Formats: sequence, C-alpha cells, structure tokens
Amino acid sequence: MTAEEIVRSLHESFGTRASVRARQPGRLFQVEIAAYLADGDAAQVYVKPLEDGRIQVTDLGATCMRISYEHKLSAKTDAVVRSVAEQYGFEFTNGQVTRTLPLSGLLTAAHALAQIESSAEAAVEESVAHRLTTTHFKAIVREALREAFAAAATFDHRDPEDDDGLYQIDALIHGPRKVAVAIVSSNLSAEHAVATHLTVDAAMRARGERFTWATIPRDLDALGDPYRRRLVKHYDVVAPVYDEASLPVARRKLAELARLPN
Amino acid sequence: MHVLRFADLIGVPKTVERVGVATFKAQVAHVELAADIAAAVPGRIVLYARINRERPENVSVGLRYESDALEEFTFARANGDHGTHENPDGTVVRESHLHLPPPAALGDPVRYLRRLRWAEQMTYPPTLPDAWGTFADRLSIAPDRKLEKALRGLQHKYGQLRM
Repeated sequence: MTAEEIVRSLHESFGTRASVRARQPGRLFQVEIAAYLADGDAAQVYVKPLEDGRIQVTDLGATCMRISYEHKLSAKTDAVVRSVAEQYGFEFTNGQVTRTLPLSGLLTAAHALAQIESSAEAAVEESVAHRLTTTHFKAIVREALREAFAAAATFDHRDPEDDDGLYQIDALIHGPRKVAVAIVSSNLSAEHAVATHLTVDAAMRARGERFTWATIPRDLDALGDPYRRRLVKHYDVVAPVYDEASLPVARRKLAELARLPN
Repeated sequence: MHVLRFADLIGVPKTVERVGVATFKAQVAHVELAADIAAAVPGRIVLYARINRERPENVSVGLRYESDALEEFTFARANGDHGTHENPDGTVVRESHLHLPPPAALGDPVRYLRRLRWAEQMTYPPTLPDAWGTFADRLSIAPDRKLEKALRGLQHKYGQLRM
C-alpha cells in the first residue's frame, strides 16, 4: 500500500470533513476531524498502514498523556480508559488505544476513537472526584470560607475543656452569633462531627455559652442512613451537596446564621 | 494577606531548582522529564516536559501548581504540533500553541482550573528545546543550562524525525 493510496482512500472516506497529514510518509498519517476535546484541543487520530493491507487506528498514547496533565496515571486510570476503549471495539495496550481493521472501516473507527478520547477524560474526572480525600475536601472548603468571610472565619477551634484536642471544630464564623461549622466528607467524619457537637455543646452550656451548629457535607445523600440522620439531628445543613453551584447558597446561609450582612 | 492571582503565577520570576531523570509516561508512549521550580509564591510549582516517541513533534512543556488548599492543576502548557486547537470564542490555532488561563481570569484569585481552554498561537518549531525556550520567556523562568542540556538530550535520543 503506497502513501498515495492511503491518502486517496482517506480523502475518499472523509471528503471535505477532514484533513489528512502524512506525519511519516508511508508509515504514519494523522486524520484531523472536527472533534474537539474538553480543553479545545482536537482529538488525535492516527493511522498506520499494515503489511497485510489493513490499517491500525491509534491515539499514539494521547488519551493517557492528556489525562496525565491533571491526574496521576495509575492502574485505576488504565482500567477506566480500557473500559471505555472496549465499549467501542478498541484495545488498550501499552498505554495506547488501538484497533486494527480494513481501510473501509476507517471513517467509523476515527469517530469512535475521538469519542473514546473524550469519554475517557470525562470518566477519569468522575472517578477521581469521588475519591477526594477528607483532608483535601476540608482544605477546599476552608479556603472557600476564608475567601467568603475573611477574618470572621477561624479554623480548628478547640474548646478550653478539650484537653487532648479530640473535638476540634473545623471552622467558626464570628458574627453577632457564632456558628460552628463541621466539614463532612464521609460517614466517619459525620460521626466525628456528631461527637464533637455532643461533647463541646455540653461543656459550653455548662458555662452558659452556646454556638449555632452548621455542617457542610460533600454529599449528604452519599452518607449512610444512620450517619445522615444523626448529622441532621445535630446540625443545620447549609447545602446538601458541596459544589460550585451551591457555594453562594452555603455562604448566604452561614451569614444568616451568624447574623452577618450578606 | 496577599491573595495569589493567576497573573502572579504566570509573571512571578522562576528558577529551575532540581531536574529529575527522564521517565516513561503512559507506559512507553511518551518520555517525561520533570523539574522543581522555585518562585516566591505559596505552594509548589513543578515543570514537566514530554515527548511522544512515535511522533516527536508532539511535545509538551507545562507548569503544574500544587498546594494543600487546591487540587493540583496545570496553569500553563506549551504544545507542539498535535493538530488544531479551538478557543471558546471559536478562533482556531494550529500547530504549536500555548495554553494559559483565559485573559479575563488573570486578575482572579488562583483556583482549581479543570481545563486550560484558552490557547495562544506560537511560532516555535515543535521540538522540546524550542518549546522550552518560548515557554520559559513567556512564563518568566530563568535560563537553566542543566535543564536545557537534558531537553536537548531527550530530543536527540527520542526526537529524531523519521522520514
């Protein structure tokens, strides 16, 4: 199969909807179709002619490379890419998404590979978002509170009677009323928040003091039933899910609870 | 307290502090070299340079920001010739280009950026040393002989164009 035959066949398949560039004449071609990924870069589709007359359609490792711009590659990201690739009849081998087929199948395969690249990125995003660590989630929320309330927010408040620091309050919003905020990302942290409330609130009441108790859960519905019930019994939930859309709502509600101007 | 903004991250003078060894990335499809970057900002900045072994004009050089408060993310990335890029306003850049936070966001406090949707057209040839040179100028990174030598070595070893 000559380079001219490949180029002619590619043009016949794609017409004006794509351009074909010989990256290594006779050996490697890039097909550019109007398929853009989440950051605006075009999907990368390469074609290698094989000696038996078939072709190999491949991403040359671009899918994993792009994922690695934002996430560490691991067995888990490999599994996600492999799963998406196999849904479209492709293989995932040595970090590359590939499929060997007759030249006549190129049009479909090129569009499928673009879809794989896009879907794999989205699937990895989703899988990573679900395993944000408790520490990381707390850090993100603390930063948002610091930005929203400036000096009116303090962190890791420790009651004077909490000798060992076992029941620290994640954040305290200082207004005409003081709001104790528990940042909750898991069943375990929900239980700790409840224990903190029970212990610190009792000590404060004995001194004639009190806080208003509020919680920012990562996802209230993701907590187990008993943990969720106990959390909402002891805390005012300022937003059931923490994301960019709920952030202004959470901020406004905390300000209301603290009786600060919105 | 001084608020760190995207413009600060891009403009702050930077120096290469420690150059690592080249490693394979995405199994064996790419080779990567990473280096720690020193800059007067909170958090950590890491530089990475990559080359695709089968398409050596497909290079990338990027800066990743890491801190306790945010998920790590790339805030600048130069790409070689991997094809076209389409900006949010519909403009298309071809071949070598530089991804940056969008111009309208440069004055914003630094936050996690999921995607660098904005890219500027660049004119460097798609080799690691050329991409690095342009990238370093644009991102205020001081020249560094050790890194430049390592990048030339990578380009020589893996970047011979097959004709």
